[in-house]
Amino acid sequence: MMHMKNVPITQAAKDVEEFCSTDKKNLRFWLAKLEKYSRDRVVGACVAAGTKNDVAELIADEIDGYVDNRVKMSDVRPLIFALLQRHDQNAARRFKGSEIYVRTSVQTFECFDRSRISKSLVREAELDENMAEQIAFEVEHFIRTANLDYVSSPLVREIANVKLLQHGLEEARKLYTRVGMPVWDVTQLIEVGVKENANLQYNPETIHKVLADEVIREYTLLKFLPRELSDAHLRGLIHIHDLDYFCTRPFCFSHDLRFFLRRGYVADGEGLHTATAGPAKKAEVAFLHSVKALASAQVNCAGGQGYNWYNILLAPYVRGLDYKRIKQLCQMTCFELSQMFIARGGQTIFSSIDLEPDIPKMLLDIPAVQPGGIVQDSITYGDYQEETLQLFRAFTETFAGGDYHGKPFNFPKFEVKVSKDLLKHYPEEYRAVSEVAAKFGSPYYFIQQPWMPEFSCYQCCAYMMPLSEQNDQNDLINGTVRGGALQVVTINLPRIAYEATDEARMFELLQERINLAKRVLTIKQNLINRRLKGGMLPFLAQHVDDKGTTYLDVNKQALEIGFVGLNEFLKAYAGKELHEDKDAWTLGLKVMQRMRKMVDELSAETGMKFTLSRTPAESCAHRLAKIDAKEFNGRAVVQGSVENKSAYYTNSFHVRPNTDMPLLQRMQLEAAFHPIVSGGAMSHIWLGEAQPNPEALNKFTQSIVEKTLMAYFSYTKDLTICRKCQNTAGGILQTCPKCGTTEIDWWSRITGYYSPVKAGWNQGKRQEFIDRRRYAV
Amino acid sequence: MNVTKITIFTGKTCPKCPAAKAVAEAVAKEAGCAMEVLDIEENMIMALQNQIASVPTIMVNDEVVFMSEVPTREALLQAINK
Repeated sequence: MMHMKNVPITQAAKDVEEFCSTDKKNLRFWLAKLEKYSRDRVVGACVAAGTKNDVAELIADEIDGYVDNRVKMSDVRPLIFALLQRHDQNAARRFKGSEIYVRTSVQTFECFDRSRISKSLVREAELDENMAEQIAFEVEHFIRTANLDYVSSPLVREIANVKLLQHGLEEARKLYTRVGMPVWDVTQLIEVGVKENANLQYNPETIHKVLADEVIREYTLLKFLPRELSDAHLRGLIHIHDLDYFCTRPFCFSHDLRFFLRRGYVADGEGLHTATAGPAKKAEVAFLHSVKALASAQVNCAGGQGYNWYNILLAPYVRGLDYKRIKQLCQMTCFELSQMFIARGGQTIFSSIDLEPDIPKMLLDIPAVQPGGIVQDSITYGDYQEETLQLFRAFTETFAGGDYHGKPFNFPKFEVKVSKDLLKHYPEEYRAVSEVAAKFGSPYYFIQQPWMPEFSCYQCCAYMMPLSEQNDQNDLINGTVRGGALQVVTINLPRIAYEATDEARMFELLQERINLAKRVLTIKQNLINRRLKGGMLPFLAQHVDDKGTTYLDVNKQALEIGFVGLNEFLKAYAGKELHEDKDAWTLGLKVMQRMRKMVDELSAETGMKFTLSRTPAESCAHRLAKIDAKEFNGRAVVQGSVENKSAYYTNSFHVRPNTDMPLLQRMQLEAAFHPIVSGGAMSHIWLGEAQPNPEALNKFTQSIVEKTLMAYFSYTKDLTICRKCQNTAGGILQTCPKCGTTEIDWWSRITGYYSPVKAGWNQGKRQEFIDRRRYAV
Repeated sequence: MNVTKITIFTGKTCPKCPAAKAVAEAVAKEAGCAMEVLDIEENMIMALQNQIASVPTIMVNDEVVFMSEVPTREALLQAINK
């Protein structure tokens, strides 16, 4: 019996009568008999029939005027049907039937069909037909008896996954599940943004990037890597870097600009989606091609993109130009590389340019690529000393000037080669570089030490490219000296100290972790070979010769095995930190030496190019410390504060950031590790003065070159950049000295590049920023 | 007074090392210095802690005086007497 409010129901159309006579055959009618009326249930029933929300709301409002909660939902079904008939006849038809309608992932509204579940279970989860039928039947039963208002493909799949687990089919569930993000996380991302990567601005492109990253990362851990390796990452034994790009891209790349200068620039690598340019004839075009080639390469690669010998290889293009014009070209390059906000989901290209004032011996007699891509045996790079030096000076001045507001260029990274001889022969040029260091901290000093490979370069986040190993004399002549790394895996060293019971076990664990890294890196190498052959990396698949050799020669790329927290390892294992006594230093070197030996042995066994490297560890120094602090509560040695969620490990073989010790001694202590770490090492000098003395920096650079084994270092000067007037000031200030606003950001070197501290650094890195022992040189 | 000590780091496959070693030995004898020859591979950690990673490298007491080069007799004597 229906309890009416004031308005009686007067419409009793024929089709409603028919509905009433048949509805009792519908399971939904009987389920509705168990439910009291509510307005929300009416909305749900209408939406479940596939009508739009506003129509559902309209119908619910009308019905709510007639009835109250003393009636059952079954009593209002005729009313819902009548009103659906008026507003949305298709929805009325669906409401009348007993079918379940599903919102599909291809954005359609379709009748539930059990066979689609069973077929997909056979195809995707590799079930036999009987089991697939059984699961599909159980899914249908669940959906019908649950009387759901909203059924979608993802929901059907979620239910199917639960049924698979109930049947103990865990592996099938892994194959059948979806990867993605919870609604809450997507909302947070869109409304609040992300702070994991200091390079990511809050903009629509980066939101899409993070969404995609989440899917790929989960997919990689779930499907791509064997469970043991995924778990090793999740448990914090190792850290697999850039999981978001693991399945698709190689890591970093050092390019030979001559490849593009000789052949022209094909933006997509194929010439199908973009215009194709021939070899540059004019300087401006050559510089622009160099910039755009890095952008194209970034589309195919996860990590940094750079050029070795940048000023030398462009020297033939500036012959005859006056210095003012040359400087304009350098400015154009720096602006282009720091303004093209397009890479990997709305970031600048992670770019490096390696500059040196002199032409190295190996290039002196190599025929130069000249405008138009012309090469003549009679004209070699040795003929372009003057232009090389002019470009070196002009780039240095450009970096010293900064942008329109006098803000430093964070990209391209200003990589300067230095040696005892170069310092002696080019004192003015290096003094000018020191001025840039004193003003902005921009330069990265790459010291060509006697112990290093004959030709190599430092790029990306401070990885050394062992170009000698990756190339031969033909590459040097043909303009195809290129290299890079495919992937990085970091070993959590402190964890080994917590787990080891004695020295033998410690080295055993170290070997085990290196073997884990090896397995990950082997998967990656095979994968990138497949990607290259499968056509996913067209820019890198361009041929360098008529034999079909690809520009990316996968098997020659380095496979980086890194490490984090040697300092905390020593404290946990031997009770002393790296700087505390010579025994700790000796043990640190011994462990590193053993690691290097293990890595070299892997290379010898497999023929692959494993290298030991210091990893930038922006994320993993924090992530691994957090995991260990939780798992080894009380025993874990971490920097920062566990309570404040700012725990972190000291990077690589560095001395604890807030250690107070003489600077040269600190550099020597760290420099001893540089020759062991074949894939690249970096040491930092954090400057404490707002206006450091360039002359003093220049002298200290000389000391480092002459008195240490250091291969790569930088002076980091903290900067305060005003968000309002864009003024740049030295030091960590609370207000802008120019306009007085408190809307400022601090810029500093996170590890291998400059970025805004407040906007992007994780809590561990922020704590390290506070802790850093800053020096007056 | 402490005796001056010449330490030379050498490598098994280093082409310049025999010549450097000969100069060091001659000078050590002439100047009455103590002399130690160390293989860099076998003493790598000690070498690294003295900021040495290439050979031949000669130290006088705790100071590196010649790195990756063969000094003349005179130059080494001068370094000792500095």
